[in-house]
Amino acid sequence: MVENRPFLALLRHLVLILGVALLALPVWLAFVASTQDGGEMLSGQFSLLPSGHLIENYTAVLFQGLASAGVPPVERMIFNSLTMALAISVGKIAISILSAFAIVYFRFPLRKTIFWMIFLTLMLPVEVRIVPTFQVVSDLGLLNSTAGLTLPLIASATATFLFRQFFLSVPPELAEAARMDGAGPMRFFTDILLPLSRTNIAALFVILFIYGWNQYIWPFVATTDESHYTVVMGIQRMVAVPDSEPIWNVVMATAILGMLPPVLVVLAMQRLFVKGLVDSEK
Amino acid sequence: MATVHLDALFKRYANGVPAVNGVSLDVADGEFIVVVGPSGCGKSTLLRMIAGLETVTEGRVVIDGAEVNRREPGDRDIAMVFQNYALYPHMTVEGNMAYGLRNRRVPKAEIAERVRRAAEILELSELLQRRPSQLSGGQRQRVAMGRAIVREPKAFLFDEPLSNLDAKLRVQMRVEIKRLQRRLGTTAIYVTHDQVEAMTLADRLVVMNGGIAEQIGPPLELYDAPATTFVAGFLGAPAMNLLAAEWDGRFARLASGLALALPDLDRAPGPLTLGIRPEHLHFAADSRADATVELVEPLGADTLVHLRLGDAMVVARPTGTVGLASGDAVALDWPAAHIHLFDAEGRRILWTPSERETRSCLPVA
Ligand SMILES: Nc1ncnc2c1ncn2[C@@H]1O[C@H](COP(=O)(O)OP(=O)(O)O)[C@@H](O)[C@H]1O
Ligand SMILES: [Mg+2]
Repeated sequence: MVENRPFLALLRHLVLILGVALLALPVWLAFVASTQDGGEMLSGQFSLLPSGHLIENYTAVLFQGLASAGVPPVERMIFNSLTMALAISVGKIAISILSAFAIVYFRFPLRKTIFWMIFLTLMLPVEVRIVPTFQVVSDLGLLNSTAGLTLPLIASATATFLFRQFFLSVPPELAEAARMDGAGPMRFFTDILLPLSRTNIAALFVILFIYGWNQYIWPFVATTDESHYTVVMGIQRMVAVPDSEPIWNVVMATAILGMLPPVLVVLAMQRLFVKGLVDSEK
Repeated sequence: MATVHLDALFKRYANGVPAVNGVSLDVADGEFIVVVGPSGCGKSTLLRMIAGLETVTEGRVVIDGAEVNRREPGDRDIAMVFQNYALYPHMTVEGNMAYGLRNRRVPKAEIAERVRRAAEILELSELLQRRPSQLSGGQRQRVAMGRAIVREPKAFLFDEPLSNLDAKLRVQMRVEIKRLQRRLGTTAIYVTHDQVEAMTLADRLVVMNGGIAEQIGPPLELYDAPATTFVAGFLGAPAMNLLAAEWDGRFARLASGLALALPDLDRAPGPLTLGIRPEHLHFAADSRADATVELVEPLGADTLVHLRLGDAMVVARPTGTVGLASGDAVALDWPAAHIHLFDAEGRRILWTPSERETRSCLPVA
């Protein structure tokens, strides 16, 4: 880190540039593809420069979708994805911060057992428990609804664990001082713990939003109705058309649009996010 | 009026550790009580039971005549200053001080007025909008004090509030705390392991050891007449010289072979512990050789002379400087009025020698 030899500097930059290229090139290609018309891509000559059908392609996917593949307008799917991602991240944070609060600050029977049970569910992601989960959601009549789409994804051992670790690092005297100051448990939670967790919440929100946005298997299982399709599902449907070539420029335009909201969330929360990851200021 | 009355308090932690083993104490209104003792003796536990942060296993905590054992800390009307200050990091100085009042639904105008006054007393007026992280250690300490005084509580509780400050600031804040408590006239219970803080702050001192109060009384009374060898050894720096001796009816014979006449001591022969403070152990002018000088530490105002007395080491503390060097043989003078005697259990033996001022305890070879 402290060395300043030109050769090393060059090497460092080379590695970084390679990394950036590796990550950015596919995105660029997707963007290029999304600006071409249907024929250009199949012609076999793939240009690295955008073509002229940008507005035409994007308005088409945004407001019409791809009826031939049974895909609703992207605008509709983004709304669905957004609802799902927001519900998942907000729900996860709300539930896990409250469970962590209970586990760290209250003495109740089986506290340790409950903590370990929550911890054990870390080993059971959606994909593993998908069949029983489907059964439950279907029995509750929640298929094809936002609730059915989000509820099974909301319980979160990871976030509970992270908040628990954070709460354990808060000096216990703070809780005692608040008690002396006449603050009850919920007062302490809202007035002191919540503001102190601000950056942690922001960091988790970004991570969970992207997690929610990228959900694929569960929405695929839990929804059959087009009106509940999410962007990620929509792309899959566009690619998996029977008896014909996927219409790549449309698929790519959808993909680019589908990438935008998470990017915006990251950009908006960037400062808090980085602070939450690296800052230990209490 | 705010009195605190502790009635045979016991505390056993969930893991079975008996931290406080029956402490009774009556604190008068406006009194400054200091609880002092070595680390782990149960001082904090005692204070936290008074605060309500720790449940009471047995006994009663009575504040102003009302038992508060089952009352929440916030409902006991007492304020506590923590060792690490425990300021709310996301609140300004003003917010920190006002928080307890806001929770008690004190009218806004009154909160502002009380915070303003407290800030003025503690010279924090310029810092009201700062966060704790933007303050120095001493300033944080003041804010913690401010948070306690705006509440105008029945009593202040302090748990080693100065331990995180550097030596100079510690002296300064010590004086300030004492002055503030006098000015406000609020009952205070102050926990520390620092015996200088204890001696200087206390109206009455509680010396704790292993969960019990060994002795309670005004600091100088404890210094002059320690009830046990523990108190004798704990108060004063350097500590009182404590020497094992065998009482034969006329002389107390020390392990080194030295024998001290103890006039008027009416006691059956047996083992005892003899104590004398370094400042009371004088050098005699005669040419006997009772002890050998091991080390001389000149401190300016006085000198610490470490002496070997047979197997034991004793410290003398003559004022000014002395012309002694390691290896010198010296004769010691043991003024009877300043000799403390303790029995085999370490309890003080009442002894009033008739010849208080004379050098009556001449060592006999
Ligand atoms: N929460 C606790 N659980 C179990 N034992 C404790 C707890 N707090 C303190 N102790 C024990 O009780 C004894 C007294 O502790 P404490 O009151 O903190 O001593 P001090 O403040 O005098 O240093 C110590 O032996 C300590 O280890
Ligand atoms: Mg302590």
